[in-house]
Amino acid sequence: MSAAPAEARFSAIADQVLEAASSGGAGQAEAFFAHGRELTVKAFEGEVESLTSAESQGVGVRVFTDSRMGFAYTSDLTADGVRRVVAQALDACRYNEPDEHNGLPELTSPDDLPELVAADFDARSVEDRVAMALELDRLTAAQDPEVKRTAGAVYSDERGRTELYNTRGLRAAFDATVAYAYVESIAERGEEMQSGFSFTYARSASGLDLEACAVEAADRSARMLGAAQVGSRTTSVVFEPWAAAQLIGTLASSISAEAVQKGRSLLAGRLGEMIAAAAITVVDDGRRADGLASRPWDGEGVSTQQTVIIDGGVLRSYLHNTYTARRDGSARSTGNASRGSHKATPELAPSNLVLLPGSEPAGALLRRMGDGVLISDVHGLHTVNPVTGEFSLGISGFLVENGQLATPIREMTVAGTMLGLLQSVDAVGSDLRFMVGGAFVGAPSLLVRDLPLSGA
Amino acid sequence: MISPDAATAALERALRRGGDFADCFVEQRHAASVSMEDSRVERVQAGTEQGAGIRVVSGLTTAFAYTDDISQDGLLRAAEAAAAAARGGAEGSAVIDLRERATASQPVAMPPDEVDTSRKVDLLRRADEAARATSGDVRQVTAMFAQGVQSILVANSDGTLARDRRTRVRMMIQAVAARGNEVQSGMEAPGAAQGFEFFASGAEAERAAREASERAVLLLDADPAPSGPMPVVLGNGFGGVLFHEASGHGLEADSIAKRASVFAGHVGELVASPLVTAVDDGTVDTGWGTLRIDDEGVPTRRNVLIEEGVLTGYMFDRLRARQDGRDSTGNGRRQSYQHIPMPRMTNTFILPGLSRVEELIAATPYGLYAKSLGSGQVNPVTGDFVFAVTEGYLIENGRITRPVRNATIIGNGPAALKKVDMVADDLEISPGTCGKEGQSVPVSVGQPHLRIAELTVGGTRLAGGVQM
Repeated sequence: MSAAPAEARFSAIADQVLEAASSGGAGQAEAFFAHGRELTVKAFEGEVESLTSAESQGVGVRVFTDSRMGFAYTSDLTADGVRRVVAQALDACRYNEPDEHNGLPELTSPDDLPELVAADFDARSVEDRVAMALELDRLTAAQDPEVKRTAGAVYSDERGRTELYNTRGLRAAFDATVAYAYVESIAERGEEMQSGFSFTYARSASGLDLEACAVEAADRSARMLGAAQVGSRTTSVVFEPWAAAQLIGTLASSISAEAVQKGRSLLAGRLGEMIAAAAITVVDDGRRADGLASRPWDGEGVSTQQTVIIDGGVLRSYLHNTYTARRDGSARSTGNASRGSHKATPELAPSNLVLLPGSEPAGALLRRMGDGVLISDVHGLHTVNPVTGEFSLGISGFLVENGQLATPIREMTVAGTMLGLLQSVDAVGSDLRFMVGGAFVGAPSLLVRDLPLSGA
Repeated sequence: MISPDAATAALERALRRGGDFADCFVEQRHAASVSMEDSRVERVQAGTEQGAGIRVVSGLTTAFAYTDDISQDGLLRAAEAAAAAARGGAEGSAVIDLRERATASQPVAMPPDEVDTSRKVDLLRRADEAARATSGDVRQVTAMFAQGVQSILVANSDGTLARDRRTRVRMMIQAVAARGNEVQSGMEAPGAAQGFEFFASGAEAERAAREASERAVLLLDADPAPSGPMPVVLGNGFGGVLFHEASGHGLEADSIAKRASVFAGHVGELVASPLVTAVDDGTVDTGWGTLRIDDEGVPTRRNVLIEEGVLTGYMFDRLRARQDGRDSTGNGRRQSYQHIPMPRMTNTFILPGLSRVEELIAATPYGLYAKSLGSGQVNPVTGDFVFAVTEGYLIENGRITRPVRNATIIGNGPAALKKVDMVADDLEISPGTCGKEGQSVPVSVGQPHLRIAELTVGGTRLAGGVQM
């Protein structure tokens, strides 16, 4: 690993933390620093509703004493703040039960991932970025005669820095930049209102496609006008990519080795088994250049990688951090110790979770289905039972007749189990899209046979 | 935290390029939690967050900056950033005259940060044992105790200076039951805006643990839920989440001002069944959403939203109240100093009616008793909602017959309000976390048992008997 760059922001404070932890009796210690600078603009009806500019930072401290782990965090990086956070972490060690698998990872040298920073990130002025939110709001309201306004358009960007130091000699840092914009369009016909969402993201403002975002949001709202509930039925279904991605995202808790080891995963004990249709291949890839969850190393400093989870329907691997790999005995960390912020301990989570696309465009899947339902949105995903995989979700979308979209539908539900659904996939499309939702999840359209839909 | 002089200087700096209004919100938050899984203490952790958010409002435009550096220099830098963002205003020279308003302090008998961690571990052990003792089918128990103490100071250019300290404690207990290949889970999460005294006796932890286990075990024997339109009896307490999500958000003044609510322009009109009276009350004793002052320094109060079916008012923060030429209703809330305040609910509930719960069941020939709801999702534009039923029973011939699992209820908020045809007398209020535009705040939801004449139930059992 490259030693922390010369401009390392927190190396002096890190030395204080590690020194205080060691002299307080910790056998091992680690300091994780996060720093971010953010600009967010919200536009509504042609005006700037809010403009936020901010800078924030903090440290999370882990200490290990006699196989016990302690953790504490603070945003107070003064000498007093550092003393307090180390004392709190050491105190926590007293109560946590010992576990031989606790501890820091071995020191390794992950490769950098320089494409996480856009060279032109700082090129645009604040005024230009304010104008982008206003432009997205204006463009969206100009796309369709039944779309006259939005519920708001947002532009946001952030430069984040992560630094990690530990008593095994790790001193590492990386930067990442991101810019994104999103809008919720409102379509109206008489008393009826429908909304449609779209977003665009890149490493800097210059990579955003506001026009495409506006067109898609407006279309997603306008096409739902006239939606009605239809009768219950069991039918073939095509999930659009975002709906499919959100469903796949619910697997996150089941592919975690921690959930497997603690008996709360529906995939426990099934490595090597055919758990899904042969068309299904799912990978976790922490190094995709276009993945918003990409990073050179994870929340413990372990190199990220591509991990094949389901290969042609066969369950190949779970996701591991250092602890679960040691507890497993024969596994290695897959670099999936994830930290949402300095306030969180490294927890197992996917990075960029991708259901790999096939070769057929979405239209071909619809034609192959013939009659059925296109599901464009799913609602209530957090109600999917992570232990059993049972779900009953709200849906909206369209009836499909002879491969063509017909009446829009709403206030319907689809029910089943995640494994049942994965086994019933007949084909995957070529139209991979990513959605932010817990992890950064990508999926193409999915054709699934015989799902029970409830309605009138 | 900071001196009134420091706040005054920051506000004057914030308004130096003009603006109608400025405020400064300083916060220090100490949080700690202990969790247990596999009957072992798993995570003991603690943390401190502090910082300040400074905003300048010009018309309907908010310029906002936040920092975690609450030194005088840090505040002035944030004020300068907010002033710079408040572009286009005339140069101003505001004179701020802060007057501190006394706020009654929250009565806390046992400040949680003064209670030894070992007592919290004991509490988890009691919950763990109670959950496992409930049934031999319970295989796994996860229990967590969390505490938070948030100290705030609000100062604004109208001269308000107010402080508050908010203490909350909560537990989360999840039980997993298994029999053969069947696995089910149940969850309970009691909490209060109180100190450790709320849990000190252990009785509340044990009650919640038993309830979580009983629910998980019950579901092992449950039938697939029916589907299709039918009458639904909603449980009291957390059942109120349906009103909160599907109607409450539409009564927040920002969604009204943005014409994103079906309730816009309907004050004085019948928008619900005459059986429905709904209030938002930030003063409820120890309620999870209770505050003495909101995050803009305005004292909280009881606001009647719907009275016997008639829409009586909305919930306002300062910005939307100013826009409407009226006073804030004490609903200006924010997740933290890193967030801009918005109109938000506090403790929101439907008042009790005259029926008894037995009468609601007896009057239902066939339907669903949704005793316990999970969280749900609502499209704020259309009002369409979906909620998971975490404990449900079939009602047949006026009697509760069999437990059912994996049901959801789906409908439209304003339409459902009009279809309420019976309201029981057993109001209860439950804690929850409310998310809006990326900000989470603690709230209570509540209601007595009530019946909705027709909602769509989405289960796996279709009328034709097909199952999956």
